[in-house]
Amino acid sequence: MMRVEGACASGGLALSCGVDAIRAGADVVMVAGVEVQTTADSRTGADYLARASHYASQRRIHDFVFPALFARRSAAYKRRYGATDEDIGRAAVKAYANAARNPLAHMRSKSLSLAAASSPSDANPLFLNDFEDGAHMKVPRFNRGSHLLAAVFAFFVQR
Amino acid sequence: MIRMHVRLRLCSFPHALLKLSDCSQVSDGGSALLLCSEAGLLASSLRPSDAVELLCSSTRTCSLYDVPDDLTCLSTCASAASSAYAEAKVSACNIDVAEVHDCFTITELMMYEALQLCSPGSAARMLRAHETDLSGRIPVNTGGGLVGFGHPVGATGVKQVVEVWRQMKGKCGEYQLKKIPQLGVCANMGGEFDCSRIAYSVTCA
Repeated sequence: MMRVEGACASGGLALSCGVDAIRAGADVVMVAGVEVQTTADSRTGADYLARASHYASQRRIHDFVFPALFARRSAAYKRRYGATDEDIGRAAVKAYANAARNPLAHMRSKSLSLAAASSPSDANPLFLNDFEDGAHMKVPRFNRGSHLLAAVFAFFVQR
Repeated sequence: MIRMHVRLRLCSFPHALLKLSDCSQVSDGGSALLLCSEAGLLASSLRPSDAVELLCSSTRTCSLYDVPDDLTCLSTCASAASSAYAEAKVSACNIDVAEVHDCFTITELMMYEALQLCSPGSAARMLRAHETDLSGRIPVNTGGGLVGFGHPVGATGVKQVVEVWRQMKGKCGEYQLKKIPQLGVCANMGGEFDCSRIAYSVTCA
């Protein structure tokens, strides 16, 4: 058995390890990923997840490090290509519409209109409303490796 | 006074923020799959018709110490995708279904571009044309993706492959694609500075 950690990429890395094992002569490999996140409150959970960033330098950016990092990417993308909130909101509308057809989906009972996805409201608040603008975010110098959180187990069964 | 000033500035830059609906879900979950060599499949009690062929798996990593030059593209993911397509001898235009790592909505747009489903900057046009809807040209994240289905972090990369397998075997119920896909691609990533990216292609046996 081999345990693989690669934060959000753990599952893909486990698959990759499984493929390597098959190429090395294994006949059957089980690749499994598991996660429990809902036992921690959101800020504590976000702190755990921040370990997939460069924790020593990036954790101080915000309590929710990854939303902040991707808000910066979102701002850069909008600036460069002129994409709007409505353009990006269409991805959320599609995600919720597909989830509504999937009994296993987390958001299967929520509906989201394009209008709701495109502009902030009480029901769809701005996240990071204490985080001004990605463009102004300081990018610290990195000097140490990060800790990765997620755990994935790959079970190698050698026939 | 300082607080009020900051809030006013925030209100003038709402475009730089994310909304709740832009975020993937904090989920619990698990997913598993079996990888078999051809000999392993034949020796097992599994039916070959239940399997799909995994054409390749490509992994790219980059250093957490490097800041990406271009925040508008997922360059390490794009590199993994190019390598996967070359190894599998497939072209992005032949892909029937994709699972991409939409940890945030903006990432889904960038993933379209990294996987060459569209040219840089045209992901918004692709969404406007509904090309990635269930009835579109290349349905993406048919079961809801990380935003709709959820993002049980350690399970997500495995679940993406399982989702493509389910589409190929007609097991998706209400979100089953009308045309059974023959070639699929999954892209799973970790971190933000492209610290780890994986793309792999799956196709029917």
